[in-house]
Amino acid sequence: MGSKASTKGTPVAAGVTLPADCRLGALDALAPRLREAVAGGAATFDGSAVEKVDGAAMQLLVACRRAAAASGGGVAWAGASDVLREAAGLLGLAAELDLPAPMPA
Amino acid sequence: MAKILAVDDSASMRGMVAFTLRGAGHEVSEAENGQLALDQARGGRYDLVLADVNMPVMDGISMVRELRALPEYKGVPILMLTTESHTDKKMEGKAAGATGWLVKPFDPEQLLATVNRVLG
Amino acid sequence: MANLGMAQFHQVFFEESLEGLDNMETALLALDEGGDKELVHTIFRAAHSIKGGAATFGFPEMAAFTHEAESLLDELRDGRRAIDKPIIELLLRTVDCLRGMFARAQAGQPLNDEVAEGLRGELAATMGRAAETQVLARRARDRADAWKVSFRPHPGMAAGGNDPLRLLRELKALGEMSVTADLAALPALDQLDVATCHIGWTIELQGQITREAIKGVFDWVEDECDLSIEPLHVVAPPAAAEAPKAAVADVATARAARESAPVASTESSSVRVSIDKIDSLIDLVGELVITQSMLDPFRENFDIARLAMLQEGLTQLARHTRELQESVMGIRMLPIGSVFNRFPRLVRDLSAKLGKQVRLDMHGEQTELDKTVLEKIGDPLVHLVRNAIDHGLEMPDKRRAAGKVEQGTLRLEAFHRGGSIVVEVADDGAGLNREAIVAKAIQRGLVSSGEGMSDEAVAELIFQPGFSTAAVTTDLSGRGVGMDVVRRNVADLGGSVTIRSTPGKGSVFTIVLPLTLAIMDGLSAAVGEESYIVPLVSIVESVQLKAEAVRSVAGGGELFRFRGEYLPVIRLHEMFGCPGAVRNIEDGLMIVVEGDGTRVGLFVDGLNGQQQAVVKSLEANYRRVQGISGATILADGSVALIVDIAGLIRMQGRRKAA
Repeated sequence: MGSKASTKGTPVAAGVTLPADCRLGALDALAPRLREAVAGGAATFDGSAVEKVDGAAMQLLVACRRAAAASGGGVAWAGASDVLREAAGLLGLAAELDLPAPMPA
Repeated sequence: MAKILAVDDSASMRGMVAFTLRGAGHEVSEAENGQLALDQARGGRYDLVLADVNMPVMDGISMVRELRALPEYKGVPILMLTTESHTDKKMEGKAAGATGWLVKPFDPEQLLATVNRVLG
Repeated sequence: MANLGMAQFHQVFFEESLEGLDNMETALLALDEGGDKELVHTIFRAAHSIKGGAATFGFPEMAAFTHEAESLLDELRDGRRAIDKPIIELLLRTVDCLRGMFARAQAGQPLNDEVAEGLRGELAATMGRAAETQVLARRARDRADAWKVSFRPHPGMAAGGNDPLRLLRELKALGEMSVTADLAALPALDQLDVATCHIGWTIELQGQITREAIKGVFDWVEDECDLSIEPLHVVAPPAAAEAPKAAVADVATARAARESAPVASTESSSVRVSIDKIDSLIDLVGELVITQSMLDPFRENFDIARLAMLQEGLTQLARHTRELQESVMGIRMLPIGSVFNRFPRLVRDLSAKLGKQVRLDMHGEQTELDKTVLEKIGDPLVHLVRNAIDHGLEMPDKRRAAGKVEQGTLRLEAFHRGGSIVVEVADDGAGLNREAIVAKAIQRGLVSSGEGMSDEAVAELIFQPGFSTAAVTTDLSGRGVGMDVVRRNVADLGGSVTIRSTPGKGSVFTIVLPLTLAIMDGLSAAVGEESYIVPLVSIVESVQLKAEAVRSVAGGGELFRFRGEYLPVIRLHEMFGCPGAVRNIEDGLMIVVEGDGTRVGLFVDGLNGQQQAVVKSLEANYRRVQGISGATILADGSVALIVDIAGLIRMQGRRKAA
């Protein structure tokens, strides 16, 4: 499995596209790229392709947003899948992650 | 659908598990002891491993311990299939890194319910 | 019962409590004899769990009553109060009173009676105050319509495959959920190990949800998280669950249950089984289910390529069925200790009343008996024990005069012998009084004189209907029950009672009981249209003989030579009169069997194969048949008789002698 989707998408300034499988087993590959992205303060994550996610990934995303905010920036969302939004709601992290509302189809 | 590894030395048991899970659309591989299962697991990442406890060559608990030590199996659900209703055996499995257990006897519905539970 | 589920729940509570009361009684008696102070803790624990259970299951009167006893025990435990005879007496009466309460609870009657009220007052008065009238918490708070769940995973939980997201998703399925994440422990990004859990959650759940359902979500992670589940709003328990109303039982049942052993009132209702036995059953059923599901596909379609799988399945099925059968039989087997338990108290009370000194010596409490046998052996044993104290053992001065120690010994022992269970009641008293027995028998018109009667024959007289030394001389040996009833009760169980008595030395009553539900390995042999089971243990060999190998001898018997000795032939078809059986020696089979140290050849048509037979009593279902020890049901549903080798040999001997 893994992160073959990760390099796809138009390169935005410090942007990362989250892979379809965003679970613990994929995080060792994903985390360094997220860390790098938020190191500069401002970053954009695209979560519209996420099909599978777990608590560990959500925790990582929270830590990323907090790190970006701490260095005076923030993480903007280029998109978020329903799976991602559901997970944020279940974990009580909706406000913390501030995911965008579903795009009208 | 998920990639599942079913490990049990009893052919009938393995057959039943694999049959049920394939019927639900999963891709199932089988192994008849812990050692073979480890070899197979290293070759490709499974979404779920179901392992019997008492097996020759390498028992389920040792297998879970080794499997859990592999970086690619961090967080991957591993369920013990056990006839042991005693908690100490379950806890031994948990201590080795198992996610949970499914106590035999289980029928296909229970198996599917538990598998769906861990696969989310 | 209004609510079966709840009634079953109560039943378990009753049983464990009655067991606790037995333990209390045993410990109190041991204390009375100067036993260890540690015993007080045992007694306290028993009272404490009864109190807790009574409060939980909705018996507030019992809880309040036990509370008084517990307070007193607490003082004894702390050493605030000395343990003396009156206190032990009071606590023994408390045990009796609680047994009465349980009997009434089981009968659905009001728990308190005058005795209970009085005793409760006495307990309180002993502690120098009026009885408390508090009502204890009625019921565990296990239902609510809103819950607050605090859940904090341990660091490694997610790495072990238990994703907190999954757990929260399962919780949400139970009801309306609102979640607050606690991020206080979340480290900065550069410190974060992605696999480690740092977030905790507080969850509020709305809806009619049981605590069990919530706990079920966390069943795999009990040891991998900190979890608390608190009701926010408690729901009143369903009213129907209260007080089962069984109108049948009357006061007499309650009183009888209180006076005799507590098991009497629960007869045949249930059986307490050790967890190990249940676990092994569950394991076996598990195996069976697995095998069944393996065989299931063959019902729809069978492919010859899968023959091996079918064979494997059938082999497994046979093995599991056999194991399951053995385990299920084992469940009916219970240690005789539960019957023995009542005797320390009985012996103590009875000897005190009669002014005799008796030491009770019990052995083999672990010997297991079939539950049915166990339930029915109590009364005969009580009678034998009462009889031994009443008539067997002498008064201290008489013992001293006879050169014996003043304290008599009563031995109660159970053990296995062969395929039977033996229970002995022995005393070191005066032994049977031949003259008195003969005189009584003459008076009762059982014999005209004792002349020429052997001691054994005289001893047998006490088992004759109409002869009861016990019921006539004192009222102690039971309710007008004689030895004849003891013998009949034991015979009903397929057993026998005998007595051995030595004048001046004492008497031994020996009860021999069968293992009624034993499973036996046997060979199934065909004789004409019938099948007979020959117990495997008695089979030496089976041989096919030529006609000339068997010789007729004078007197009509037949002999054949086997390993240098001549063995008599028993033709089963002749013995049991089976039509259509093989008669020519060379067409049939000779099974060499051994019984009571004697070898014979059983001549049968042939063998059907080895099989396990569940022994059914022929006496119970038909009548006793010579040469047959029981019957079993064969795979095709027909009945096969089990051959009693020793019995057959005895029959053969008589035929020859005749």
